[in-house]
Amino acid sequence: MSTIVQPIQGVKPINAPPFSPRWEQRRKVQVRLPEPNGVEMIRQMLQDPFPFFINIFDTAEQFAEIGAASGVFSATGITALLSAEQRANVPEDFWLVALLASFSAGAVGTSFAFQLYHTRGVGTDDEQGFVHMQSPIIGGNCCGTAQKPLYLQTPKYLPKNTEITCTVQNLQNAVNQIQVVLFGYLGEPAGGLT
Amino acid sequence: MALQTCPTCSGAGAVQNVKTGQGQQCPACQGTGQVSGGFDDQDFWYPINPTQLTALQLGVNATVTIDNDADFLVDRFIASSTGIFSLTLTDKFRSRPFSPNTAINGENFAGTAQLPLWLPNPFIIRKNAVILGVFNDRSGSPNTIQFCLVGRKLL
Repeated sequence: MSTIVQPIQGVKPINAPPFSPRWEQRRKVQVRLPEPNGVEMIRQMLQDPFPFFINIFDTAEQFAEIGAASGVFSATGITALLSAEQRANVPEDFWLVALLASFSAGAVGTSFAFQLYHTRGVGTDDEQGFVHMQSPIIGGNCCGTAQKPLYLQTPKYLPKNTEITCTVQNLQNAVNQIQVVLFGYLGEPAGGLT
Repeated sequence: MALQTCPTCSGAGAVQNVKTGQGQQCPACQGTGQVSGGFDDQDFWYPINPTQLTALQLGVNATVTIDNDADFLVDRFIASSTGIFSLTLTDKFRSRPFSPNTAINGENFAGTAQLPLWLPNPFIIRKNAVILGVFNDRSGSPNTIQFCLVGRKLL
């Protein structure tokens, strides 16, 4: 899958960040960014990586699509203590870097529970996909915010047409507006599209 | 912007692909052989200032145009607002949105000056590019928003 590049023979390899060495310090001071080698791999796999936010679960979007007929969603969010699924397809090769979420009811540790899955399209070499969590995880334990994202230890590569699915359960006895976002990078594969 | 020899290819502009054995353009410097060390760069802010949103107003467009003097390397998203909001951001130069057709909540898109959303891999916006933000109020009250693209000019 990966195309690892190495310096030309006879040339001393130095794995320094090509853009700014300052982010190496940022991950110590500000937030915990992914491992440098993981970010380096994104850069090597994709030409011109482009930041991309996929809102894999969004009560506002669900309501717009489903409406109130299901009894699960209202214009103000997901109904008390109910759960719902939502899915998204990755339009291009995508490196998942961080998980983000926002909610309107409850606290970080009590608002909602979340479980993430992904599968690949029929005919690809791995149709089985992957369950990322043994059981639903409290939102505050698996999602950050834009201020403090939950960066993955290693960015996860999701090939084009991967289907991502999630289940969200509202743990509050009140309507809850929840949005869960996958943050990562889209880009043309290095070497060009084939 | 102080340039230095690219440490990945040592200035050769090309590296060897160990899988194919073929040479290829250096992914770090895009073949130029030089990169910026980033030691003398000054931070720069490009703000997007939509008009004040009324309560639950949807689809308010605002743009910022990157200056003609240099490409812009974005490494932070920062925003402030008087209420919660959502937005869809698009790079008009590439005709490429930063999200699918649906809007992303501000809490998930941008941080603050104290805790910005640091992009693990900064990306370049071309000079003269127009960045379009489409803003929606979620607060139910008038909402004044400023969304900033922060980084440095590649002079």
